[in-house]
Amino acid sequence: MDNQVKKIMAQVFNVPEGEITDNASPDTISSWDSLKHVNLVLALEQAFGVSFEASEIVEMLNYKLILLTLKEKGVEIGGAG
Amino acid sequence: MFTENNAELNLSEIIQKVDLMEQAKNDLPPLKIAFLHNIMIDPIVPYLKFLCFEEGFYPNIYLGDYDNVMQSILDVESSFYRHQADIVVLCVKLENLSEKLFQSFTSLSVSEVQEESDRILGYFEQAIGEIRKHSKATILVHNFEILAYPSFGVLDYQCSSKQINTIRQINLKLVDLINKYENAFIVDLDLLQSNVGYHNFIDRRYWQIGKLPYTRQATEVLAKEYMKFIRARMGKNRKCLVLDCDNTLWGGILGEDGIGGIKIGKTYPGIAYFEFQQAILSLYHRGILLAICSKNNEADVLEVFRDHPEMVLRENHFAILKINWKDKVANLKEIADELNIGLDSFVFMDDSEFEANMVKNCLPQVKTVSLPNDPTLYRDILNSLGFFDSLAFSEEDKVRSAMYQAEAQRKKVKTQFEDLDEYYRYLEIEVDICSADEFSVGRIAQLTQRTNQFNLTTKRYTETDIKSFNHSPEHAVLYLKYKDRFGDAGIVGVVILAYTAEYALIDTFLLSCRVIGRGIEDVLLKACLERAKKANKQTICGLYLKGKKNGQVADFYRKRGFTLDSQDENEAKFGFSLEKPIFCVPAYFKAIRTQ
Repeated sequence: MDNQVKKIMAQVFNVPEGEITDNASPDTISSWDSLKHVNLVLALEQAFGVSFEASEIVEMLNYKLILLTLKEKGVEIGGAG
Repeated sequence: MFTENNAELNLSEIIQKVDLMEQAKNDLPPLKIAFLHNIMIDPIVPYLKFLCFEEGFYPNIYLGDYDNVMQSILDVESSFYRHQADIVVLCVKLENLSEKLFQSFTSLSVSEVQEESDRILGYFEQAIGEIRKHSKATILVHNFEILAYPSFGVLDYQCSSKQINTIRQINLKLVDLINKYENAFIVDLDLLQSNVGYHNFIDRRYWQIGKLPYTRQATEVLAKEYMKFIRARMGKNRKCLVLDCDNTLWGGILGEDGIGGIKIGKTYPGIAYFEFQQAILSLYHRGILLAICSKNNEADVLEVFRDHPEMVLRENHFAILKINWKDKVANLKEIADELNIGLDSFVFMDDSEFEANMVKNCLPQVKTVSLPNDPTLYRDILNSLGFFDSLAFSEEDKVRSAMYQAEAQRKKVKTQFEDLDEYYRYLEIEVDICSADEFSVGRIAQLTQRTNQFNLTTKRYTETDIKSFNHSPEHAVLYLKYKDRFGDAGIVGVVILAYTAEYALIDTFLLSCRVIGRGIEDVLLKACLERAKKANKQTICGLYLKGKKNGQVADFYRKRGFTLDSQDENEAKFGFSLEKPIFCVPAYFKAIRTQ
């Protein structure tokens, strides 16, 4: 499951999947701006069939927080890495 | 490459695909789309780009500054105008344009409501008028989605001047407004919201976070709706629907169930096919050509069309019927040949995944729709496609299919004559050549946009262009009408002459492919020469501009006694002295009338 998250992030940010580390955030990925963030959240909602609340959308600003938020929605995550 | 009608696009995948396509080298023609918006509209970009690439265009999308609509429009030096868009989309949402009407309706007096409505319409009048002054772009204007929960509750919609109906009336007035301008259209957001439902259309979360009003689904639906306009505007709207028969037009297999056993009628289960046929008939009346491509015994299928009491579609609705046991790819190619239109004008619908996949693979330029198992869905699938949408509807569109059938008749009869002149005499051809008038400008413009083969210069003109040529003393616009014993083809030829002090230039000379090869081109050219002579010109110049499909007319003028004055790889100029006698046209025409 976290591979699918990384895959989607790679697609949205137009970077190779290997560049999405566990520490991925707007600091490590230069194309991760607020508009790309919207696309990312929309893509995640579509892929996992979930709906985030507004507060979750504005707070899930790095890879780890994304996994955490998905987990709270009942989306199973694989092992780290 | 074709996205199945309403199948949802996967956002992250299309973002990736768009990035790849933008990075790859290609020579796709550019398409510039500009958005002027008072809400955030960015999420639409990947969808729109993807659909543009799919349609064969390289998209160049300009997003204006947030809520800077009027400023961009009024400043002729703005980056908006410098972008020089082909398509301009005006996305103004009521919530941001008029807090009064949207949030505070219950506090307004009747006159305040009227004032605010007038202000809104004035805003659009100014916006569209100004854009039109400085740009020839196609203008698409969002109308207003009505609110899900009107201010006065159930009382609201009892009254024509309360909130819901005030918005509806503004929308209706917007329709009147855009009809005052050429090449301007409404994008009906209210209709789109109604199709997907308010909760699937408006996203309060993104609106509150960042003024992004639309859900991902709405954004996708919007992009697909823009594409309908774009396809029509760029001449990519489809013109012919080809249909299978078994389990498409009726339930069951004719060869097995017999004419009494197939399901078609006003009750279940035949009603699904009945409604589907009604939708297809509706397309027929819109000027879309229909054809059959079915693996069946021809006599059996014809019997159904002729004798089955519940059928909506009859034999005469179809321009071509290919009912045989050959493969459908070959049949489709033959249909394209016989109708003399490209395969990229076709939509093919078949319930068989096998047939659909074969056509998809062998003829990717055909839009193939593989119908699902449940026929209840057929009618909506057909209506949702939007591939046939055009931006004009003319008298010719109404009778198009009849004209193609008349052509089939002509071809059939031709085989009975040994002598071609005898055949042409038999046709009793009547030709009228007239100066353009207000009734013909639309069709004339349409012909300049659509005619590719017998078109000497392939210059594309809008109705506005033709009107201005018509009013100019330095131009003459002529059209040619064709009629014979099999039918009236209407306006099928156009000439535009441009005069200088000494000579006349044939700027445009074209004939619809329907009438090529009967000497009509000579009749039209002769009328050209006579008109130039009447205008006291001594010479007439014929121009040939090389286009993609007009190679056959490269030496049209030379063959008729013009001399070659100059030539390079893209164009050739020919001259003819009007002091020379004008050639004669064939004698087999029943009548040639020139006004």
